[in-house]
Amino acid sequence: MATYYVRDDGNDANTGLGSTTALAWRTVQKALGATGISSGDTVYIAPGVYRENVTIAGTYTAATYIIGDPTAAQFAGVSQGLVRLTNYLTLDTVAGSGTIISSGNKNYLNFSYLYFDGSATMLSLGSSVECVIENCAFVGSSLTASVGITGSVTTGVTTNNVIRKCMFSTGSYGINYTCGVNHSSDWSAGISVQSCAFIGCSSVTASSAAVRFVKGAGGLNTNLAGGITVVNCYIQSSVIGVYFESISNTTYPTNVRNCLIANCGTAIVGRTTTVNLQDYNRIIGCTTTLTNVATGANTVTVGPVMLDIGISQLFGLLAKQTWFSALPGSLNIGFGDPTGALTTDLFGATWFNGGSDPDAGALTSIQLSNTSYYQPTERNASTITIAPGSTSQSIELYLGATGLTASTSGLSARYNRTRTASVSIPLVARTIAQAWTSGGFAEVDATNMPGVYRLDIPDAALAAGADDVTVVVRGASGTNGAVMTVKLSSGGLTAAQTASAVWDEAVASHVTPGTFGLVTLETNQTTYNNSQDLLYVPGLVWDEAKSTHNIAGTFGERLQPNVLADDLLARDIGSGSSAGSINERTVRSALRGLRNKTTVINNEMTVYKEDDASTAWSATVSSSDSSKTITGVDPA
Amino acid sequence: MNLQNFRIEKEPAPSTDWRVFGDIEDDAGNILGTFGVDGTSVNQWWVTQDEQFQAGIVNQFAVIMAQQIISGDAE
Repeated sequence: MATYYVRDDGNDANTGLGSTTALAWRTVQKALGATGISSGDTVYIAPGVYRENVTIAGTYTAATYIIGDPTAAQFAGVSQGLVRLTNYLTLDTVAGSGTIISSGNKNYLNFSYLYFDGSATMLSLGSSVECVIENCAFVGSSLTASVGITGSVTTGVTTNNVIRKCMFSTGSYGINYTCGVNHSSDWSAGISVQSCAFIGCSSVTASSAAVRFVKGAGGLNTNLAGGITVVNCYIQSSVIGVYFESISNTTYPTNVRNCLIANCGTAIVGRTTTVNLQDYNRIIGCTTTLTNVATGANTVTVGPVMLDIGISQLFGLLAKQTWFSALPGSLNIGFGDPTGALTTDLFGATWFNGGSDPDAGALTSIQLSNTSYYQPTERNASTITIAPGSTSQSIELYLGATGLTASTSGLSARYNRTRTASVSIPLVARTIAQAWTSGGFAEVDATNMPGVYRLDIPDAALAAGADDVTVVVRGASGTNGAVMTVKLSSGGLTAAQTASAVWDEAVASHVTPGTFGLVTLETNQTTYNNSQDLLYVPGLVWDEAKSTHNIAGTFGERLQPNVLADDLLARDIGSGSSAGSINERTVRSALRGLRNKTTVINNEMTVYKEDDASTAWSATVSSSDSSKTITGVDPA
Repeated sequence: MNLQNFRIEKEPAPSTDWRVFGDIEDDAGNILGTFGVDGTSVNQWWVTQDEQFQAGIVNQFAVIMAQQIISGDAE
């Protein structure tokens, strides 16, 4: 199970066990010769031109792989390119000769990603069995001699050979197989041709065909090889499309299915209608549809071919397709039947209607624009932050094209929140100055800010509960679209972090008059004992003109002229503290003596409270003995 | 147009002619015509074709003839 390498600057004296120049072999012949790879091994062939007539000399009993590496994935430092095997042995300007690869009747060969280019037979499988040829191209340069693949089936042997996803454009046959003769019983050659394209593969000779299987020379037309299927092939402009020349049997009939055979002399030729079957084919523009082949109930012979032979590129359409793929709406799409068909087409694309619903032909509808047209670039991928739960938010996106509007064909917008499905944002036409509306879309300034657009984000996109929201605008002509991620955050710090950042900040650096910082600094007596600052606020208070502060109920109002005096004079003398203390010597007590009830009995003067019953204070009254004239009051 | 029961046979020597046999059918299997019970002679049919058609076929033969001349397979 070793891996070997061939490159056009290698050396056959190397071990072949490495991909570098110093280790890789130089020729394909070395790799497939007697001293090359062994059964089960793999050999990679680097991009380059290999002018050889190779005869395989190894013996293989398990799948052995001969893989072209046109992308140079296995060869560091080597540029991509065709892995071209050609029989132009010296120069392309000198006639070629010989078979490019002869299998030597060896088995278990798996060829892939090779470009055969020659004027004679390109790959001769001989009587090899258990072989797979896939993703190879065969381009011929001789009207009568260039054949893609030839082979022979030994009488009675089932080969299990598969030819799939290959392209043929040869002068003579695409595939030409001789299938033994006159076995003792019906038998299956066991050959499948799947999802291949044949363009003009036949010379002018009457029996030439894109795909031909013919019985061996001599013998009776009994017990001939059958069991050959041709499925999902596109065959264009051949004398005969598929030719089962005097072969097949009732036990193992041949079958042609899901093929598009266009503009051929005869689409399918068989031996008899009972052993050569066909169905689900579109046979278009052929002079003769079927010769000695069963009529398939689902085969059609009327209608257009409907392939893109470079049409989308010719017309400069944005929705470019691969050449020879089915045109959008083509009747080929989904025409086939899944029995015996691959789930993918020649280029490996899943059939347009899904893997279980194949087309007719080899190439389904493949729009290159789906993969190349929309490629958001890094310049359009940006991130902004919006607080979760924000509403009526607009963002600006760079789309790289002017003149886009909410109704521009193909333009669409979507968003997705963390780990949730995407949601469409229906676009609504806005001018740049109009108020927010969900999906509002407006060009900012086509002249001075070309390519920049405003998009009004739906409130639901910014609701709390997600880490971020990704917004995509895409699909219109001339723009790669834009991707913007909106981080749902209140500013990058948590509430606790924000609080710490404020409260732990040194106030000394925040002294701008009129700010909280200065107020905090001036009142911080412990840390900043600055008398000037400490006196600043009191100074403002005491120095403030009282005339401007006269709002009722404020200190200022109480300090207005006479206010306090009036309050004092209007004070109910029954109020206040010590109101009940006997013999108090207060303004109140004095005023009681002047205003309240007073009695003098037996030299005792009593001054009553405002109820004229309770004693406020008393005093001894002294007088002369004769006249009782009061001569003095001596309060206690 | 489909051909069923189709075959070609070479006439016995000294004739160099070929005969074509079979039924000519439409896609529904209806027989539109036949080559006749005794088949149709290619040589007899050939001379009935107009010159433009014959010239087109001869041009195709010419390519093969030229290759055989170059390869020494034809005189």
